[in-house]
Amino acid sequence: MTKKNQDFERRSRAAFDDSVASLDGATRSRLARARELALEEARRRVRPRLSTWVPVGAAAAAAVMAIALWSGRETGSAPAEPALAALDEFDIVSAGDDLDMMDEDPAFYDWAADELADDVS
Amino acid sequence: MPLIGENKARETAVDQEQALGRFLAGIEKRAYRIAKLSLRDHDEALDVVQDSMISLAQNYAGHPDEQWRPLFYRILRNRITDYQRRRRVRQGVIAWWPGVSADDGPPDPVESAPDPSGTPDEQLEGEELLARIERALAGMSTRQREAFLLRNFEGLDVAQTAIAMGCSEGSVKTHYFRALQALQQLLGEWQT
Repeated sequence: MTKKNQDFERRSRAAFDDSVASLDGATRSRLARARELALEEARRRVRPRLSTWVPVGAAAAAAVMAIALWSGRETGSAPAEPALAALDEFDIVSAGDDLDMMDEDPAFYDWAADELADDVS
Repeated sequence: MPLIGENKARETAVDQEQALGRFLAGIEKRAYRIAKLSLRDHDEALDVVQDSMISLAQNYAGHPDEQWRPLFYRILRNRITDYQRRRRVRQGVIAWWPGVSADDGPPDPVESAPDPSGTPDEQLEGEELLARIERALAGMSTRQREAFLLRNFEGLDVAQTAIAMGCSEGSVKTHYFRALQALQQLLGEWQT
């Protein structure tokens, strides 16, 4: 870049800067109003984004929390097989007939044991 | 009661809006002058600056701050091109329509001349130089005019000018150099 070019750049830029600095009040005011319109547009764009995504995020967080609590409760309880065994015991206890039979007819069990011994021998 | 995430998002949005407000306040006057030098019409220059501000806010407010300047000038350049195209079409239609005169004919030299009342000599010299540059720019190619306005007046670097003009950096350098040469030739008598 020659000195002549640099000098021309400098002088023309200074003239431009002066013209910017000396803009009249009406133009400045119109520009400020245009800026406000643009910022209002930016605000309008942000608002729906917040109101849409925050409830969605909250719902997703609640769902994750519920799943974590549910799976935590399962892993914290007794193993599944003893739980099933406890249910079987409950069934036996609730079926009163069988227990009555044990009280009333012990000879049956003596006979059954003898039969089993004979089969083995 | 707002959630913590919502509050954070609102704070970020407010910060971003303030940053955008500062950016636009810092650029609007220069952008108007550049648009005016390109379009040579006060109202159209204000319109394209307003359109460009709104477009930046709509489409690029979420981009990093350092990208706003070249993006804004790219939008401004596109808007200026649109206005110039529309003007050409309008003038073409009017030329075909007998008995109707164009509203936006050549500017009245008396009306468009800078008002020298009460201005210091050096300021008058600057205004006169700028008025001559404006006339010279009107006769140059669009690319050369854009390169000169963005590089010299707005102070964008070569990379930012390339983004704003939508061309390569090499192309920016070529157009800028030719613009400088052409302007100095046209304003030869000013180079003392």
